[in-house]
Amino acid sequence: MITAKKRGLIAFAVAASTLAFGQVNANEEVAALAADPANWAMPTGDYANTRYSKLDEINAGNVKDLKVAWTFSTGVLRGHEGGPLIIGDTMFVHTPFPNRVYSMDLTDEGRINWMYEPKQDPSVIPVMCCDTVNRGLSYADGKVFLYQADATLVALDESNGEVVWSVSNGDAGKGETGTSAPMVFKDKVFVGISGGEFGVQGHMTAYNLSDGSLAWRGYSTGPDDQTLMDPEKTTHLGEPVGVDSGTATWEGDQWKIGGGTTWGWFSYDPDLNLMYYGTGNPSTWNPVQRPGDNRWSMTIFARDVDTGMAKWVYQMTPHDEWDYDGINEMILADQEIGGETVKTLVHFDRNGFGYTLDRESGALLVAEKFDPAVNWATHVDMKTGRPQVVAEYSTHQNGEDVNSTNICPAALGSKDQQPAAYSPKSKLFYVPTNHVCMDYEPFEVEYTAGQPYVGATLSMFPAGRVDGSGTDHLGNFIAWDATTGTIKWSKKEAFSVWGGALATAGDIVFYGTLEGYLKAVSADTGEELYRFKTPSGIIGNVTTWEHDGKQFVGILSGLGGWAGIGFAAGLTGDTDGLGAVGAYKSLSSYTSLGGVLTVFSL
Amino acid sequence: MWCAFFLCHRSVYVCMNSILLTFLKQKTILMKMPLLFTLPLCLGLTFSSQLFSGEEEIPQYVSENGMVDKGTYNGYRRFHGTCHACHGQDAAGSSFAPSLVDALKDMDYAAFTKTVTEGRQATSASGAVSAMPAFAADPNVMKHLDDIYRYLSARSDGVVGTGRPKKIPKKK
Repeated sequence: MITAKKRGLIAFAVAASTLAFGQVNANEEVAALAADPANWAMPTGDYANTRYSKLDEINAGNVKDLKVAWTFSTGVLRGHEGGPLIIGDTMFVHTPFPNRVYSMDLTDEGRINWMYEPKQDPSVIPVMCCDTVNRGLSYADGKVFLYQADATLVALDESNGEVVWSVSNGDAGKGETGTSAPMVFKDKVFVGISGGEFGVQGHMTAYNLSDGSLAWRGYSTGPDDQTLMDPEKTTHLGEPVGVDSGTATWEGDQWKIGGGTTWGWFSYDPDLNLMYYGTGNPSTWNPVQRPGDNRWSMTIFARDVDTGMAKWVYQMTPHDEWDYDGINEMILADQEIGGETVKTLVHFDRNGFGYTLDRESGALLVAEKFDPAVNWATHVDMKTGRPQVVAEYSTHQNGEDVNSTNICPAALGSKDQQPAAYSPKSKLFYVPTNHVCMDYEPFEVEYTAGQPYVGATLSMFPAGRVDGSGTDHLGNFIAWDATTGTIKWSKKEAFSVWGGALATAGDIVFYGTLEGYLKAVSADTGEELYRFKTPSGIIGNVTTWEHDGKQFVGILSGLGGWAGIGFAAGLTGDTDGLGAVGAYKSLSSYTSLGGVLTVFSL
Repeated sequence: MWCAFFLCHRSVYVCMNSILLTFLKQKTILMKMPLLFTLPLCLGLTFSSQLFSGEEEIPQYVSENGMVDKGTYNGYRRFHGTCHACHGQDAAGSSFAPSLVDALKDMDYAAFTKTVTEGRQATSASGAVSAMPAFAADPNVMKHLDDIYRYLSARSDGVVGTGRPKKIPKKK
């Protein structure tokens, strides 16, 4: 059925002659499919996570004429993150729990070829911290890979939806769950683990495509044989990490329930044979209960795809005191810095700093705030890589049972999982951001397997209440120059921008908003060129493809996720006694729940 | 809420008196026990009498000039340490779990403790399954269950607004 394969092979012939990317090492089929802009063959668009499309039929000049081509209800109400895969004539759409997979026929406006719904114990629902989201599917070798809420990874036959193999990647009874999109690099499929609020020991795991057998697993914390680190060869900013660095900065056995989960996006450089991802918060949220740097939580990992050995790491937020997970995407781009072309990795962290690193050596090149409101640290020391924490906002220094106030950003970060895009044409990064601050009070908690292990209470409010501007918007959509660490332009959004961006060769950038708008803006100026209000709030990622010579743009609506928790009833400030002071903006007055795919064309 | 405040005071008062009377009757040296000693003892006794009495005592919040007692304040903290992940900031609900400000209007203390302890699952007309976990094994919830109830009932009664409530200052 998948005429895509033919299409992919044709594309591969073209791709192989024109692209250095995707050489013999890489999984040729997937690399070829992704190189053809008619497809959207992996959740991130490409290995480099740029979310850039070469399609330009829809462009800055005509995007105002964009119209809805067709729509599709997923039949599921919860938060819809991620986006569909498009391969030739077939589209694959996923949903949050119960994790349905639809195969749809693009020659017939999305008529359903088959639907798969796994049987899962509903008790997994409440052990997912922030709604039962799922960030997408992967495809390779005639199989569609679904990573279920209960941490089961299944390979489905793309032609009929039958299970080819199935493997358990975690125990939901201990709070280990699946939300991230699997990624296929070479002959393996990679999955992370969620559960940082349940004291999970985070890990990255590779399974062999052919039969689902375990290839390797690298933990975020633990002794060297668990973290897959070489004390001499694995480096942190050029220095060897030393023996058992994954336990050395923890007290006692806390590392075993130390978090460092891996629920974000993964990228891959075929030339360097390295995969990149970030790790999440150390458990618990009460920093007083886990003295030390808590390595390697909050860390960018570069691992060998074949063996899992860590080549280099960089810990962005040692000893986290604010829940600034480091899991956001690592975008790989070759950029001019100081007159030289550098193989860079660009990462917009929850902690509010935009990092540019040399992705070969792990050297830190740029670390600047991508939201001026960020106040928990003055700057990052470029020699040690350590953020210079402001004592007033240190929830550890202020101590247990003390409410530290007006910390920016809030725990949901200056940016969360919503992925940014990079245009090699404009050389700019387009970043959906949050503009929210918080009060944070840590307190003692006890660990019980499978029960929440949080240990802090916090409240969130618009950053304008802290920076003195008095503004009440909760998000910005920005363009960023990662070679210098500067904001080129910034567009205010009423709510946090929780949907992923798409940049195209048509000099436009798309993104979705929590009220439900799909927006297209000029890549150069940020000027709004188009908006359409979809049936529900958007926390999904925009995708584009071509079918029968026509360009389409697709977006999943479906309010939920962490945004759906914090915002369902509006964000309020702290109060003087009774009654809310400051902004009270209810998202429920703009939109309601419901998973719908909306497809646009000219 | 003044009645709750008064009731508590009253029981402590009765308790203190009864201890003093007992001591007087026995004419022991303890009769000279200072008031300062008997007060905490009585507070403890009052608390345990609630625990061991046959009928369930319903935890009450105390509110004075928009400020709340220590328990209600702790309930705010503990709610926002665990429960808010689904039920939202200020218990106002989320896209997938109900507002407890509303729910507590129709839910009594017994139903509250049962739901938190045992959890519950429901399937809506649309077929969506929602699930509340059982917190019986979670000390971070169970040890603070009454305080969480105090906070939520104060929210539900409109006595505590959004955000962090202020604590009634310690009396000298």
